[in-house]
This record gives sequence, structure tokens and C-alpha cells, in this order.
Amino acid sequence: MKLDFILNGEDVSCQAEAGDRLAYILRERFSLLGAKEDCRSGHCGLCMVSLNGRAVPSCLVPAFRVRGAEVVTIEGFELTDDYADLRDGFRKAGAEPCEFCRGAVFLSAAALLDERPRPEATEILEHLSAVFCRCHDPSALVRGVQTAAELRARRMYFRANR
Amino acid sequence: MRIDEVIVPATLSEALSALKRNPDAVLCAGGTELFSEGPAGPADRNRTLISLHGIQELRHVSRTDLYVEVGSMTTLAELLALKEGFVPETLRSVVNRIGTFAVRNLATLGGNLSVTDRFRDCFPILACMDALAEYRQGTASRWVNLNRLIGPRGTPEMPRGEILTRIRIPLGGWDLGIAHKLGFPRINSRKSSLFVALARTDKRALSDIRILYACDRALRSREIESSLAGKKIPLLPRDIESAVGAYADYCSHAGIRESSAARFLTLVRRAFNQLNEGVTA
Repeated sequence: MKLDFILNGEDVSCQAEAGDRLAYILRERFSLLGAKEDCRSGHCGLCMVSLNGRAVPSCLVPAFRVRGAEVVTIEGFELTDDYADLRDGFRKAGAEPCEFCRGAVFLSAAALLDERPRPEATEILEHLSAVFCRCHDPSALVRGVQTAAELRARRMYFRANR
Repeated sequence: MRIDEVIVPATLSEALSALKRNPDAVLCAGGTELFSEGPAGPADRNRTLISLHGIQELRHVSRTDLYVEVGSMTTLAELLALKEGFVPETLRSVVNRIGTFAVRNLATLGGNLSVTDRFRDCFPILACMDALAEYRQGTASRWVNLNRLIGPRGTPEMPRGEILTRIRIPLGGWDLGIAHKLGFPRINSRKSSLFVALARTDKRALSDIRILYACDRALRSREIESSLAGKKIPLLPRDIESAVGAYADYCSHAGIRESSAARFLTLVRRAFNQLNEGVTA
């Protein structure tokens, strides 16, 4: 089947089997390797992408669901100010995730900050439990997200008062 | 899963006509069950699939004084995003323990209730609450109490050839609401089991109690529940022991594994104690 959708802000089109997973399409058809295809059942969260503005495990998204949708991968998210806040926040807090889970952690954290601009530690831990990686130190993750939240709030404030 | 053809209807009537033309088609809601690879994953044969994800009319939530009505394609994340108290708190806590937030962005309530091989997380609590499900086929529709979807052997007997469109959840106040998931909380395991206990009290007496345990099948004894109704609370130790004994007999007649029965009885005892503590407090 032919798939037309918006990928990282650009209109794209590709051929796929109806049962192909989005994670597979991103890696094989577009060489976007940020979404890792690991458990193929949504548990590990390493294939996280944003689908129509919602963070979802791309291994559970079938090709036919992508038609006409807007998909943002970590490669596209890296070009945004929200990503810069998270990168700087995590760096400042000494909580940088490993290369394997970085995309999934940042996309999950961004989804949380969209919902709750000043999240509590329990909310951060609950949200980031969606990403399964051994590099995590829970307290460092909390520090990283909270620092990023501060940077983001400051940026929003300056933008609003410019 | 091998898929021959995918039909993505935009409206419910399109979906109903597609199902009429393809009565053997697999209905796909959020796809989290259908596309997750488990030990007993989906049958590896070519199928026509009707995906309901684009049907906006199945994504509504409304509330009256008596019940909440949830469209079957409402995602679990959308349910959790409702303001506190909109849906019963015990249901909310069950939904909050399903998968991760990202999985809940895809998974739907209708999908959770329609899994055919095993009762999924929302089924036991909604069955205990006497929730109703509306099924549509062609121009006909019918409301079914979820308890009627438990077959004579306790296994799920989900309707085929019909589309689940709405779930109506009664808003009766429960003095005790326990929902306990055994197994890995975040993992969509086919080995997890669920225990639900709901109780209402009136003038320091137990007016209504419902206990359901769903492992590879659903266990619920209305006889034991009615024998407990009317008992003064706090329940006396002998009442608790006799109810636990009755449940032990029920388990042995149902032929469930000893380990499952032992877990069930522990949870029943704990529910009674919690009910007594709640009353004492």
C-alpha cells in the first residue's frame, strides 16, 4: 500500500505492507534509526515517536494508521527549542541518557512537559517508566526533567515578553 | 499478522457495512493487542482487517447523574485525562496501571473489553459495576451486561460480527473498591490476573458485595455474594472464615489451579479485612 504522511515536517510517501510497523518503516524506508525496534510489544518504549502530537511506541503503530498522520521522530525533534531545553537541562543536571535511549527519554519527557509544565518527581518517574534502559538513575532523571522544565519556562517567559 | 486488506472506515455506518460485507474480518481498535508480539500472538494467517481508529463518533464521553457513557474508541489516556470523579475512582486506578503512558495513548477501552482469549484489565471492574456494552450490527443495536460475556466455563464469549460502540458505566457509590493486578503491572502479559472487590454498606450492614477474580477465566459466585449481603459490619471472624471456605469450595469445583486459588483466597480475606478497617475508621 502507498503511504502518504508528514514526517518531521515534510510530506513523504512510501510503499509498505499493511501490517508493517511504523518503527520498521522509519528505519527501513527512511533510514531514521533513532527509533529502536526492540520488544515489538510497546513495553520498552525505545521506539517512541510522536504521532499526531501524542507520544506512542511506533512498534505498535501499523502502517495503515500512519496514512495522513503527522509523525515526529527524535531526528525531527532535535531541531526544536523543546529539545534544546531538554538536552541542556539533562546536561546541567548531569543526567544525560545513553545514546540508545536518548530519543525515547527526550520524547517522553517532552510529552510530560506539554501536559504538566512543572511536574512532580512521582509524575516524572511514572512517565519515564515508559522507557526501559539500564542507564537510568531515577533521581538523575527527575533532576534532568525538572531542570529542563525550568529552562523551558524561562524561554517561554522571554518569548511572551519579547 | 498477515493482512490481506485493510478497511479504514470514517464513520460507524461505513464500518457496519464493511463488517456486513466481510463477516470474518478482524476488528482493530487501538491495535496494541493485535500488534504486540506475545507467546500467543495473533494467528499468522491472512485476514481482512477493519480499523476503527478514524471513527470520531466512537470517541465521546458523557455523563448523567446515573451513569458515564464512554465511546468504545476512547483511548485510555483520554479516560485518565478526564477530571477527577468523572469516572469511578477504582476504574481510573485500573486504567492507570495498564501499560505505559505511551501505550495508553493508543489503547482504547473498547479494545480492552474485546480481547477474545482472556479478560483484560478493564473487564473485571466494569463487570462488577454491571456496566453495559452496546453492540451494533447492521441497523440493529443491543445493550449487553458485561457479565453476560462470561461463558459457562468462565471464559470470555465476546460477540462476533458486531461492533462494540459504547460502554455505559453506572455511577453507584461504592464504600469499598479494590482492584488488584497480579503479575507485571506495566506489561501486557497473558499470565497476569486481576482481582476486584466492590462493596456497599448501609446502616452498618453489608448491602451489596461483588467479588470477581479473572485469571485464565473469570470467577464470580453470586451465591456467596448474596449470602454475605445483610451481614453486620465489621464482619465477624467466623463470617470471614465461612465466606473464605465457601470461596475455597467454589475454586475447587471450578477446577482452577491451586496456586491461583490460593492467591484468590488471600485477596478475598484481605478485602474483608480492608472492609472492616474502613468501617472501623
